[in-house]
Amino acid sequence: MPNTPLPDDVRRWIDQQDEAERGALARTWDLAGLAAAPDAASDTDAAWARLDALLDDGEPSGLQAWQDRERPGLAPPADLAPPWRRAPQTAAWVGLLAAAAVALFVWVRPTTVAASDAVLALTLPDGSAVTLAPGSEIAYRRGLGGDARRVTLEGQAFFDVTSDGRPFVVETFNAEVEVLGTQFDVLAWPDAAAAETAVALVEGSVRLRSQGAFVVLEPGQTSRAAGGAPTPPTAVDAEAVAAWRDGGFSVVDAPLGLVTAALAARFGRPVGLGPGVDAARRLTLYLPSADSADVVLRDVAAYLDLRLDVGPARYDLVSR
Amino acid sequence: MTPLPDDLRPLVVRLRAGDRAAFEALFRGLHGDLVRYARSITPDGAEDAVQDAFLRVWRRRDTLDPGRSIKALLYTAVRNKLFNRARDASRRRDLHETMDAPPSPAQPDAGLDAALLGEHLRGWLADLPERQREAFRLSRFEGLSYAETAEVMACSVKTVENHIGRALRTLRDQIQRVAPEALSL
Repeated sequence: MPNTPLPDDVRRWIDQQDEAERGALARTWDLAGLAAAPDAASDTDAAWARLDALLDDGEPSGLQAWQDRERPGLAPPADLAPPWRRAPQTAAWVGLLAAAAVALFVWVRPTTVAASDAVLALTLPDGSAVTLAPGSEIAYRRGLGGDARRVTLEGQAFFDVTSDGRPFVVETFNAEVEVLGTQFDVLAWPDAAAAETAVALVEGSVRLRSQGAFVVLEPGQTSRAAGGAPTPPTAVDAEAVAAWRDGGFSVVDAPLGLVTAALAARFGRPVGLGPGVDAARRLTLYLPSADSADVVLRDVAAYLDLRLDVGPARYDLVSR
Repeated sequence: MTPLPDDLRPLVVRLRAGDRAAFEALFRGLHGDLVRYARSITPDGAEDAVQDAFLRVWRRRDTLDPGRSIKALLYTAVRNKLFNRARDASRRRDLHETMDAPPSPAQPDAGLDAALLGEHLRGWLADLPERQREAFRLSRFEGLSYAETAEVMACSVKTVENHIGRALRTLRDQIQRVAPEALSL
């Protein structure tokens, strides 16, 4: 069985997990080495000889910073071209390759990610504005083409959707929010101790769909999907829900386990729950400004009559 | 393969200046790893993609930034080159592996040998969501740091950490199910 040292990155993450888990997680990293592919049987000398012969033609290209243009996802269409440039074929081939390049270009989903410590504002190709909470991730197909505009969300985002006749759909890990031009907030951390998708509507109309059922929200209403059908809409101050956009923090009738996940993402530190602390317990909280995890968590602790333990790199809410 | 120093920056500085020996050292140090990585995406054209990546580095050496990871740059170039073929191939491979899945799990107390556990692990890895599997593979098998993995995958370091954390938890649960004793060694 392997016995390799843990890289620093992995060690840091494991040290943030519950103490009882650390040993097994580190051991899992180690054992995963058993699944590594055998070393490639490649002839480096021969490969070098082939490459070496190609090095002399031409000075450095002086193209603009290649590193900045190098984006994952798909090689740019120019990279699909060489076979045809080297051996010109019929116009049909050229057309086919160009069409394939365009199709691939459209098909691939680029991903935009909010920085771990800042709110990120972006404009989608259809003109819709999205504000992403720290640590959240949104993905969409290049150009947002098709019968419906589809994006996937992990985390929290505020949407201001333009109306272009097509539905706009936000997919989360367990639900879909379908909208026409409107403003609304979606909260969906899939890994939370109490995971659910919560939607709050500011204006317009949205439909929250989960497990084959749906509800339609009116402005000023909220609904949640937590594994089953969405809950019946209830009244909410949707602008307050989105207070995080301006540095505040608010949750409305959210389970504690979802609140801690949102705070962990926001402040970049794990927030744990001690034994006997109920992750499903619900709370409502509104802080117009929230600069530090300490302040918010102390409020949460006081409200729920818990104690806050502040560790060097994590927080825990524990029973008094 | 000639081992490379941990810090590749001096090599990149020399490479920028057109030092062919530095380029050869980089090539000899990373070629085998990159070919293995490329083959894990798709065996089809893997070696060509690696060759191509190195050639691009050489031809555009004047634009290299010594402050950024050359390793991440090479992995990114190989990945991009193979990306669309990889999607098709991985779908085929996943199907294949599902059909050829290892026989029913051993009894928990039977004691799994390393080779069998490796087989299981390969299957469980193949079952992970694509982004998790890629982050885990780059980090665990290619030795990339989280920052380098994030650059290759065009996402944040935090996202890489989340992907790998989730992958580790899933694998741990699977090992726990099949060979709990392996976790407590």
